[in-house]
Amino acid sequence: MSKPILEVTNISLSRAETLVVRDLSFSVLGGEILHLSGSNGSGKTTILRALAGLIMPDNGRVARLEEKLGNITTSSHSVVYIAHRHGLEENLSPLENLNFLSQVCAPPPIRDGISVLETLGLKASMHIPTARLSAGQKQRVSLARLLMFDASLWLLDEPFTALDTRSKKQLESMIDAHLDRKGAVVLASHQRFNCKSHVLKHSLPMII
Amino acid sequence: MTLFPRVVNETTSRELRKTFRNPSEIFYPLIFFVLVLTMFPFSIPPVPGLFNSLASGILWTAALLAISLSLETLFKADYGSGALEVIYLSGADLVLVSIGKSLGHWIISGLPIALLAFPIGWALDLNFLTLWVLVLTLMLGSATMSLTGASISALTVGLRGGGFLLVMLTLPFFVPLLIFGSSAATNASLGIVPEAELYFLGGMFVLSLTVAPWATAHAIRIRLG
Repeated sequence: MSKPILEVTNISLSRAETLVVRDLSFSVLGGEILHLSGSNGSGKTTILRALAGLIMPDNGRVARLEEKLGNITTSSHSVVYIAHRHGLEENLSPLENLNFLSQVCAPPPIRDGISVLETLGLKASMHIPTARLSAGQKQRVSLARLLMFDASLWLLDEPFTALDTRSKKQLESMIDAHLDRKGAVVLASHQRFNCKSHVLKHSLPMII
Repeated sequence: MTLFPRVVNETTSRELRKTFRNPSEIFYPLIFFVLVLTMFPFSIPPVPGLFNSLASGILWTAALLAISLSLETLFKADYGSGALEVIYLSGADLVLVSIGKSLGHWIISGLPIALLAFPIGWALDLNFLTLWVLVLTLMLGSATMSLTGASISALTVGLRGGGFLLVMLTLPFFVPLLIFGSSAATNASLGIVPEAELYFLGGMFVLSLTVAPWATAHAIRIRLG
């Protein structure tokens, strides 16, 4: 039996002082994927941000392995959060963006920027300023962080947005491989996706 | 062997690289600085020696305003693109990142302004000693501004009206620098050794170096967390 990688107990979350999530509880074990769905504004991104430690819950507790996120300690690579915004400096190339991250992050990454970009099929565009890349290419550069860091928990916010069929399949196989390694994934998406593992589903109600 | 820790070096070189690819960011504060200085003589009565006696104060005021206005760019792009969030979640030491950001900002804004003050001051007929003191005080003062300004810039980034708030909050911190910086240059022009002012500016720089990066790191955590 895998141990829980994430345990969420009765959390309530607010966005701009409006309650969007009330008394939500779930846990995700190693090898499990949780698919958050719900209409726009139901709080999917807010939940992912809370799981990443970027928002403090109004009530309740978010616990990642032994780490207590309630006390905001997000210093290890126990989590990689892929947000809507790509988190890339537009004037720098994808490789420069990833190299910078690999130089400043702690602990050090498990793979370097070049090998990760090659894996993602971005070898030809790794030296071009990010501003000149397409939305799909930027999304793939952003996803490179999943391969760079050895995180047990992946938090993915609409990760399939702008991806072509081939890249979507590649991301699906990356998720499968991560789950095989007993990692956990929490994913918010409106799109259908294929996954070898059983997908836990949680549909969020609108409370406002 | 490098002068600074790796995280500081990497952050500074990232700041420089991204700014040099979009050089208008470097030129705005410099152009502002030069414009203010070229406008001032038109507003002052043509009394012989008057402008010369005011020159160091005017140079310092123009430098202070130019640097204050450029502080907004320090975290704005990284906050907007989500890069600051990525850096934060990567476990990077935010204190070292803050020092790197401030150092990058100083190299891009404070240092060129201080160096530019030399030929401009020379054109305004300031004597050689005054020019050296002016450049030295501007270097120390602008480095202090980059360090302290970074913490307020991080605290106000992403807020509506954050740019205005930033200038309003930083100016009171910068006024002592202006007083001591310009008085050092004025004293030097009168033949008085500006030792006390230089010590004060040096002390302010050391104080801001020991306090501001921690405040900036905390401000980043507040804005993101």
